[in-house]
This record gives sequence, structure tokens and C-alpha cells, in this order.
Amino acid sequence: MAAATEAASLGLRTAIADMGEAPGGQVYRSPSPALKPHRQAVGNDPDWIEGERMRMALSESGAAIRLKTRVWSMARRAEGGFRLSMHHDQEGLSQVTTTALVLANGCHEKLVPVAGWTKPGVMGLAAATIALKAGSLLPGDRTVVAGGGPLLWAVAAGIVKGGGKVAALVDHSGFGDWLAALPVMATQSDLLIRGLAWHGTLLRAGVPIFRRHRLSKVLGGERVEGVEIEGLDSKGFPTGAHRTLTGDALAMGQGLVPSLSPARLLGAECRFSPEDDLWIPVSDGHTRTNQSGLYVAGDLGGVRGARAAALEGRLAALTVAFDQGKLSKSQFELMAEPLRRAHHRAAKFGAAMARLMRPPPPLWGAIDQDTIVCRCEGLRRREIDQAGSAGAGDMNQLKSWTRCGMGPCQGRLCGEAASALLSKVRGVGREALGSWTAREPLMPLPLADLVGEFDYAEIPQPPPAPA
Amino acid sequence: MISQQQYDVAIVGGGIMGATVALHLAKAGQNVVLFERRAGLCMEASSANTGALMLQLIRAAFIPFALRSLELWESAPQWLGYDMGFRRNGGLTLAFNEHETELLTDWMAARRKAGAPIEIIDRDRARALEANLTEDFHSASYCPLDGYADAKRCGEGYRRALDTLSVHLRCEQSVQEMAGGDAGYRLQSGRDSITAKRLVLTGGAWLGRLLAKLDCDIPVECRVNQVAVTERMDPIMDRSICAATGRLSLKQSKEGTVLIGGGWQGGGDLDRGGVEIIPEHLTANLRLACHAVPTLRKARLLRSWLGLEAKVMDYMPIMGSVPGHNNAWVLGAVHAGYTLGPILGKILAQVILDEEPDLAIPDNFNPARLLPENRSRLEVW
Repeated sequence: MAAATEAASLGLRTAIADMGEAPGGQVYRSPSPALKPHRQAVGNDPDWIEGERMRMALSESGAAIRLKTRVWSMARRAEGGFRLSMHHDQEGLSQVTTTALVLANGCHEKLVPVAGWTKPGVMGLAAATIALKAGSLLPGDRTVVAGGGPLLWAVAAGIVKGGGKVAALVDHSGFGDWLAALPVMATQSDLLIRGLAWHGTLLRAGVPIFRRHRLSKVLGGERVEGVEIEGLDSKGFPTGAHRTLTGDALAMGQGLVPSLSPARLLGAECRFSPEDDLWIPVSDGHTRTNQSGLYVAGDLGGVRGARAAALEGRLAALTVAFDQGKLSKSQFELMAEPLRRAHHRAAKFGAAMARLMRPPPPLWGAIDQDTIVCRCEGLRRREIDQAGSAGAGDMNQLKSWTRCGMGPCQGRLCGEAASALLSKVRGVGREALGSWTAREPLMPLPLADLVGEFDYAEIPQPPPAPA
Repeated sequence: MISQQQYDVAIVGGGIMGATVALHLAKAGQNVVLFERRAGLCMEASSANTGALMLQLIRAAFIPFALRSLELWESAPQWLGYDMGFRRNGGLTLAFNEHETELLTDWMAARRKAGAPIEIIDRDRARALEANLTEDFHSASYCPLDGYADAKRCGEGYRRALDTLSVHLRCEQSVQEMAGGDAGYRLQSGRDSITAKRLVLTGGAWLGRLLAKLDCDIPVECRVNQVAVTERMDPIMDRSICAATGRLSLKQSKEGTVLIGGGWQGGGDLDRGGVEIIPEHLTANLRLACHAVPTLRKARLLRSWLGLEAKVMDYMPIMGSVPGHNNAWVLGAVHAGYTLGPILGKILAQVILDEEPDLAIPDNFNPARLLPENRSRLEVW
């Protein structure tokens, strides 16, 4: 939103495309228009207020806003710029060409597989956030909330404020980890206060809080009936101290992963960041990638939070304008420098939060052999370990041998786990394993949408090969 | 760190052609090195297809080779030591109008004459063979020997077999320099320099460049084949399906995914490989698929991929000695390379080893026909 608003205000002919019904992404997700009394539901929620401000600014900016739109294919054009193929829920297929492309498609959830996690009643923290924000829905009657980082606490507090019950909050970080982040958190004092408020909400509601614990099992028959959790030592290793908690829903999440497929598809160079334990696009400090005309902004470039994202979005717009000759070098430097400094400060906060979200490395090794890792294809850890032992030396080979990552999610759910596990069994770092080749369509698309209505005679078939 | 190594045979290009030649030479006790520019074997044309093994798609002149090759696909567990996922589910070719019916009738007659058991069948029979077939077709043919294998397993199967036979696989290694003659060949790949008594070029779309290094002017075009796959579905298709126009190849795998191809072109080149799909071509391919089996409209497209394939001006394979060389051979540009790979690779290995080949190499496969001085005599497509 920030990038498009800024770009339009700089006089660039701008369009923004998003799959959702309204702009806002995850953090600033708007309640579904289908919900009438949504004003009451969100009340004084600062995210909603900020989101509305940004949506208003965007709608007044003059940028063309394409909602309910999936960009399913992209390519660089020989004459420069990019061609984007889109599908709109009602209007069908269209194509757009552009000189500059800013990718701001954010992240998806990182999940550490756990025994029983495929039972009905288990959802990701991000999914729980969407349910709360857009649908005013609670995950269940008594929800266990497990994982790490601020989202864990936001979801738990959101459930309580929404009138639901949180059976327990299970955080893989310790109190000391949060304390260590306090100085950085204090630099964005409003966010710190909000975090403390979440904590207060949970304490007042009497929610049991388990720090330095991991999920070791999801219990139940046909659906979730509870969870087993296990203590972790200061290095993140399971201690063997288990306890059982009851609940009828589980919201879990262990961090965020940049959704790199669109960037990779266009050939943007990516590097593995050991500090973040993530692949991220390489950018030059002004959002440029190694592909001319291609820019990355927001969490896509590395998980640094919403505040940093908005600043980076504006920076991307300025850089595009400068690269297209709409700003002089001195104008660009004058406008970009304060943004870069503010972004740097906000990103430090985001980085501290990302560190708390990140699962302690021993959690991957603790996955049971029988636990399903690739949910789409039903692959268990055992099969991944076997493929690795038998010689699958990189992610693409693993995929080819086991079908891991070939299902409808195309590796979004299993990619991190598969990489961590293969790394362990091969005894090499995750970077050496590479990553899965990005291909089109960027998301599953019904054939009916791609083919539309047509006459056989219209199909442009080249002459057949000789007999 | 230049490692000097000496081999009996150096093979350049690790698609199904090169891998098959390597396999048979290694089985005969030859010391073989195989260079491949990609990270694994069979990653270009050899897996940029739907796995179709259909006599109905093979040019009449190649039917005798195809019949033998299909037997090899079926018996892969014996000679390759790996199950390539072969399934003989019968094949249907569809013609959608009168003109296509004429093509179908003529071409299938030629294939039948060459030994392929293909019959033109009536509409009821076609719909009995394939329950979800469209009503909107003009005529159809059927071949009970047709089927498919799992194209994605090709690379893995050959890699394991070649590892077992101690073939030296040099993946992610292009060959920059090649020179030599009767006394042997020297190849430079990055910092590696190797020598080999014999040389085999199986570099697919890159054959033109490779042959040029041996001073052979044989133009080889680069095609970029596009294939797509749906998510898993309940069983909706029994047969392997293709179109009389040759622009559709369609089947449902045992996992339930539907593979859709037909030689539609994507974007790419020899330097970058296959880089982008061309959406209009994907749409056309999918439209053909949905026209043949309307139930497919319900499926979701999950993924597409690309692979480079070689084509020469007369659409015939190049197979035989590199012109002007007694110890260098070339095999490629087969157009039905996936289907014919097992037999053609075996035959070339037999010729190299001076053994009686399963089938003689036809004269019109001779690479020399494409030299500048001979081109005017070719039937160009």
C-alpha cells in the first residue's frame, strides 16, 4: 500500500494487485465486508486504524487498484520491463505490462511438524489471525496457542478479547529471551506497550503460560482433544519433561518465511541468511534486486515487521522514480535518506521479533520419524531421511525422488522442514541444498478459469509434424 | 587444480540418449565419463514431456524402432535395474473435424503398414474405452500397445544405474573445449581436462554448438517444450490420449495427477535454458485438453515446466559418426526422443562396440546429410 501510494504521488503511472477483497495484507487485514458490525469487532484496534488510514491514502492516490486478482505468471519482456498475467475472480484473465515491478508479497507461515498435527482443529497462527481479524471467528472453544514471537501473544490475546478461551500459551522462547529484546523493543514504544497489554490480557484471564516449551504431540481421535508439550533447556534441546493440556483447537506457528517464488521466477538473486535461517532476496539497500526494474519491499525481503515494511515500500517507490528519471540524484538522496534511517530503526525491532519467532534449531531434529512432514503427499520424516541417506543431495533431487513439495501447496508448508531435515541427514548446511525451482502458475488455478469459453477452431495450432 | 583423467569414452550430454549409450558401453566394460550441464540427468527434453509412449505419435519410418523401444521401457527393471513407471493403458488419438479425420486415416494407415497395431474405431468404442471422453470429436483411433512411463523418474533411474556401473558422472559441467581425432580426444570442462579414446555427442539442443567444436557445420534448432500438471484428482481418465494434430498429449498418472503436453513452446534459449512459459500457448494446450476431456475443467493447474529439445531441418534423427571422424559419434534431434531413447542409445552403443546392432541405422539418419554441401537434397519441414 505504501509503495503504491508513494509511487502515484510521485507521478508514476501505478497499479497494485492483490488476491484479497481489500488491501491490507495480513497485518492490516480488513474485516470481511460480509460482516456487518465489524466496527464494533475491531473497535480501537491500532492495526485496523492504521490499515484504514493506509487504505484511504491508497484509494485517493490515483493508483489503479486491482483486488481479487491473482498474478499467476510473470516474465521479463525482451523490450524491457515485465509482462504479468492475472486472473480476476469475476473478470477472468488479463495481461499487464510494466516498466518497473515492486514485489511486496510478504511471507507465509513457518511450521515445525509435530505428531498429530494433521488432525482437524489445528491451524497456523497466521490462519488464526485471519479468522480473528477478517471473520471475527475463534479457532475453537478452548484453544492452545503454541509457537513463538509476538504473533503468538497477539493471537492468544485476540482470542481472549474476542470472548474465547485460551487453554494455554506455549512459547518456545524463555522469559530471558524476551528480556534481552527489551532495549530494542523500547525503540518502538507503542508496540512494546501493545505487547505488554497482550500479556496483561492473558494474565487477567488466568491463561496458563508455558515458556521454553515445545509442542511434542497433538492428542485426540477424530479431532484435537489436547496437546502434549515438552520443556526445552536454554539451548533449545528437549528436556524430556512432558505435560498434557486439554483443548479443542490448536493455533501453532514458528515464524515466517518470505514467499520467494515470484522473485525467483524472475531470476532475482537470493541468498541464505544464517542469522535468520532463511533464504532472502539480495537487495542493494534501496530495494533494488539484481534484475533491472525489479524491486523488493517489506517482509519479502526479510522478516522485519509491518512498520519497516511500510517505510521500505515508500523507499521502493522513490527508487523506482529515480531509476526512471523522475527524480534528480539530489532529490532522491534528500527524500530517501530519512526513510532509510527510519527503516533501519524499525527493522531492528522487527529483527528482534523475528529472532523470537524462530524455532530453536533442535526442534527440527526432535521431529518423530513417523510424523508427516509433507502434508500434501503424506510423506513422513522417515522417508525424507531415507532419501537423503540414499543420495538425494539437494532439494530438487529430494523432490524428484519423494514427491515432497509436489502437492497443491507446492512446498509452502513443508519446505522449511524438508530443508532442515535434509540438511541434518546430509550433514551440510541448508544453503548447500539450494531451493526448489520456481515455476508457474504461482498459485493453483482452476483450468476452467484459464481456458474460459472457447471454440475449437480458435485454438492456434501450428501445423502438425510430418508423418 | 586440474585433474587429468583418461577414459575409453567421453559422452557429452546426459539426457536419455547419452545416459543410455553410457549404460551399454559401461556394461561392456568401457571406462566412461558423462558430462551434463544441469544438476542431474534427463532434465531437458527427456523430462519435459508427459511420458507418452505411443506408437500413434511416432512417424511411420520409426515404428520398427518404437516397437523395440516400448519393449525396453516395459522391461526397464531388468536392463536398467529401475522401474520407470511404465504402464500400458492403451492409447486414443482424436480427430475433431473432417480435415483431421483425413490426416488420422492416412497417417495411422502408414503406421499400421509399418507394423503398429492401430485401428480406426467407432464413436461407441471410443467412449467405451474412455468414459469421460468428449462427445465433440469426429473420429478416433486406438492402439492397445500404447502407454506411458513416469518422465520425472527417468533421470533418477539412469543415475542409479550409471552409479552402479561406475560411470563417472560430471553434472553441472559443460564442456567448453573439445579437440581430437583418430588418436583420441581431449575435453576441457571448467578446470577439468580429460582425454578419451572415443567421443559421443548427445547434447540435444546444444548439438550444433558441440559439433561446431569439431568443425562440423550442422544447424540444430532449439525448441522449448512446455508441459503442465494438475493436482491429484479422483480417477477420471483411463487411456493415454493424443490429438491427430499432434498438439495434445494427455494422461492421468497413477498418483491421480493429469499431465498435459503436446509440444507447445515456451521461452528460453541455449544460454539460459527454459526460462518462461508463454501463457497463450499454455492456454491453447489446456483448451485442447479440456476439449478432449471436459471433466478436466474442474482440475486445478499446479505447475508447468520447460525443457530444451533439438530439431534439425528435415525432422529426422542425427545418428552415426561425426562427419570426418572415425572415433566420434552423435545421436540426437529424434523428435520422439523419449520414446526411442532406450533403443537408439542401445543401437549406437552396439555400433561403437562393433557389435551387430538390434536394428540397422537407416541411411537417412546420417549426420553428414546436414552438411552445407548436402543440404539442398533434404526434404525440409
